[in-house]
Amino acid sequence: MVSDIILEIDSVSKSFIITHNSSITDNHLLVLDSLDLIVECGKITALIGSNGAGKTTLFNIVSRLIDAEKGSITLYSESQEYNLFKYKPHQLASLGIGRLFQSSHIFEQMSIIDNLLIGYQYGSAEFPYANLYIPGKSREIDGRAKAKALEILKTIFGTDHYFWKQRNQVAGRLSYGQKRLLETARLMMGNYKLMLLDEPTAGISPPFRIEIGRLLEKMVHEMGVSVLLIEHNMHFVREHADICHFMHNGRDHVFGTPADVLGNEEVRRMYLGA
Amino acid sequence: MNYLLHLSILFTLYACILLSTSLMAGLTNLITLAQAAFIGMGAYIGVWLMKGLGLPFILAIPIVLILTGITGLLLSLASVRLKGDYYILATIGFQSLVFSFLYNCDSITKGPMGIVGISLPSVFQSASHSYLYSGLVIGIAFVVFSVLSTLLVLRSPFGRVLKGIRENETTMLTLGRNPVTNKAIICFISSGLAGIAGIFYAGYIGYIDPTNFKLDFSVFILTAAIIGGMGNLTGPLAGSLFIVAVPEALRLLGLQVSHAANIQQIIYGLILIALMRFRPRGIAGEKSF
Ligand SMILES: Nc1ncnc2c1ncn2[C@@H]1O[C@H](COP(=O)(O)OP(=O)(O)OP(=O)(O)O)[C@@H](O)[C@H]1O
Ligand SMILES: [Mg+2]
Repeated sequence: MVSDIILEIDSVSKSFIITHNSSITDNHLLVLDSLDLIVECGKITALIGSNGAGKTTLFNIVSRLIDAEKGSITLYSESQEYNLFKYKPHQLASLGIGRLFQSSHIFEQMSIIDNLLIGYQYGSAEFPYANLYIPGKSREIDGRAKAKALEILKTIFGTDHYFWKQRNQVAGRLSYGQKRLLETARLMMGNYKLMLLDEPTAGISPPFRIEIGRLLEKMVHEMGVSVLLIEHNMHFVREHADICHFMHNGRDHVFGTPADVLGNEEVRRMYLGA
Repeated sequence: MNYLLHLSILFTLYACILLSTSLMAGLTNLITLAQAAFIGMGAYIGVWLMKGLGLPFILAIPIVLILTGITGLLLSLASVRLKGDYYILATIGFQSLVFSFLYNCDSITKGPMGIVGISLPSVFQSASHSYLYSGLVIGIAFVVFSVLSTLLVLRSPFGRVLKGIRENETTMLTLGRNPVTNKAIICFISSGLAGIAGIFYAGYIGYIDPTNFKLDFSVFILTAAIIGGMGNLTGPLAGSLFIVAVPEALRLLGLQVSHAANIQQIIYGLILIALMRFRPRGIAGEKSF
């Protein structure tokens, strides 16, 4: 059983303190209420729920950007267990956890190719002046990173794609959809085992949605990545997700196959508005 | 001719200072007003190593680089808790601390009396302008060192990481980079380079006293760095050229020396305002403010 799971979220709670100007008493907004959730290996697990349900908050807790009040999160990777709460945010990438944010987090002042390269784990080749004291190794790693970035551009997008043609242009000029696509591609530069994708298709046109779906399938089926996917686009969920969880009142309210969850009476009433 | 040599040496000195400033303020978001303190530390430590311990100039340089570098690294750790403007205040605090120490601990630093009789080693044995020529050769060596140190950072994966941190720390965290350590490293390099610029300054001018390394010098350095531009190589070099050229231009206009200093301040202020409005990257910089 354990071998099929990559991430186990165990009764995680989180509340925010909302201070009202008019009153002295603080209000606690309970966002996650002893939430349990499991992400299975090699699958796309969708997480759905109303705006403000706490989905992004959960991602922030897994990414260690904010602390939970109680509970635990365990990563299972290569027959090892990692208690994530013992790690700092910058250590998660080396554990194999990647993250796509809900808004564009592209480096606007950098070129398209640099935006990909920065997703590569350079290790010791990233020490200052590495090319002076480990010239061979740093040249080799640098070469591998560049080859990987060019390969992603060529094989995934093709040499007719603007990413290839404009690869040395600053990414700030890209449209929102292009930025999101580039950001998703950047995740493929790292050696991630689990990706947390926060609404990759929000604000994206249908052709781009198809393209992002294609990347997603490639990650899971060719690179062996497991995905936890926050989505509001139910077509996308139906098409790509293997399992679907509906979050409500800070808990994992209903889960099952996308068809089951989206067909569920309560989900339809509380979320889909039908 | 001698005067031209002197101006060239000043250019090399400012180039070293602005290159070091650009590494910190240009490649990270740590705006600093303590650069004069690091130059002063470098000058005083260097002079003490040479005059007090009798070390040769060439050996004093790496020691100064490491000591001022470590100090800069420690100061950068304040940025973990103090963001943005608060960090600038912390650097001002550090700047004042160093100045007070240099000024008041006169048993060690000779206080306001200053230290005289410092000199650069001579590169040539018996040329007519040997002192200035030596100064220029050493200055060029310092600039080459600073330029290479900067270039190797700019063109490396490390430099890309710094630019990433400058734009968005949270993204860099999730991409597996620690902003604190990376900033600490670049602050080590930047402060170390400022420190060795200080030892060059002391050697060339031949005299140091604490008032050379006050807050207004730090402000001047940051202003010049912003005017020239930061985050690349050409910006700091353009800034240094500008610093050296403006007083000369004023002199050519026939202004009296007593007025020139004040007018210079006004000109810097006006240019800064104009640049912020029309050219936020400075004359030739990469980073926009
Ligand atoms: N730092 C914070 N301080 C106070 N309240 C917060 C904070 N972050 C989130 N919240 C609140 O927590 C709740 C959950 O927010 P969250 O961003 O996790 O929702 P979400 O499920 O991702 O919604 P959406 O689908 O709109 O992205 C919201 O009510 C939000 O206002
Ligand atoms: Mg959200």
